[in-house]
Amino acid sequence: MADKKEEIKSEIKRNLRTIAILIIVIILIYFDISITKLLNFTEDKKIIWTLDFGIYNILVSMLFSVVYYFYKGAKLQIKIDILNKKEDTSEITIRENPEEIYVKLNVEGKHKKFSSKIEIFFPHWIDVQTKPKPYLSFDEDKNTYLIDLESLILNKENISLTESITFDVLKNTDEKNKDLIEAKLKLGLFTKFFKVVLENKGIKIKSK
Amino acid sequence: MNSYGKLFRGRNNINFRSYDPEKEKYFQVIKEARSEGLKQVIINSEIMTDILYATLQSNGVVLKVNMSDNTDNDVKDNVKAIISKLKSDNLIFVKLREELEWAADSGSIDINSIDVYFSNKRYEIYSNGIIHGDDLDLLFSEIIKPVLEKYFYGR
Repeated sequence: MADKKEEIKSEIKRNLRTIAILIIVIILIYFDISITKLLNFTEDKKIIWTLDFGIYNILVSMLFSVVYYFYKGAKLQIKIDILNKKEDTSEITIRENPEEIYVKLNVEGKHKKFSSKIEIFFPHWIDVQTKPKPYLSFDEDKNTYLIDLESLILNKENISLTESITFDVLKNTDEKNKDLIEAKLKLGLFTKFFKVVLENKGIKIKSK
Repeated sequence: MNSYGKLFRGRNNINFRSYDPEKEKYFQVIKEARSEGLKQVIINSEIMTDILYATLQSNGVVLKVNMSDNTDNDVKDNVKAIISKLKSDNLIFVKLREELEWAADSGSIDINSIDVYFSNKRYEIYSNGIIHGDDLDLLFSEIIKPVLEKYFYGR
């Protein structure tokens, strides 16, 4: 489900980019700003239009890529993957014995301040355990672990951090259940748009 | 009396519930404990190794270490060989610790269960927090509780 959502998001972004390029190119041609005419290449209006359209398309696409490259480079990249520790997959089945999942946290880029913590919600039919760490806290009522990103990145100017946190999980009921465990980091719209790129992949968990 | 127990932890304490598998359902025991705000204890390999060490320090004997199915046969054989020597020389535990170092990596559950002999009684300790043996109160208070309190609460 999360993968599908991401796929649709990037498809929409791709299409919006194409539409934006098209609009800019049409505006340039509409106002008769022509590179082909400047080069005195031909008098044929159809050829002028076609060449202008092609050249502007390439130039505007390149400009978009350069702008996107600097825009993305200025943002802090956070990648959170939750995986089955034994098989390194995004699926896990729990039977009578405990299993291990791990959170792989990757942070790269320039330091940004965070007011919220990364939340990992575990379903109610799971008992979860990890070795206490200074940057980890647990909300008993929500069965949720909280990762304090601020204390992990420790005011460093440039961050290149990979942290793995193992969680042991054991079912607490004999009912057959299924759920998706995902990490969440609450970010404001401005932060999301200009400061942080968040990639987040959860794990499908089921009990048998 | 030969009985079963299940380990639980609260916000600031460790305890266990005795139960009879023939009379009580396993998940019913868990449900009741959870209604009192307790959670199951998972004995991962790091805790299991600490329990082995605590047993030896209390003049107990390690009888068996059952590794998970996906453990290399070489490791299983080495562990078996070290345990047979442990009976005569406790210092060999250093070797066992080295052999289990990869398994004791934070949070791993590669030791399914261990069998120990302590205070003239035999006990089994499972990774899902089940303990089995003659005098569970003694095993709990002397070996398991101190190890778990150190792991979870650092005391």
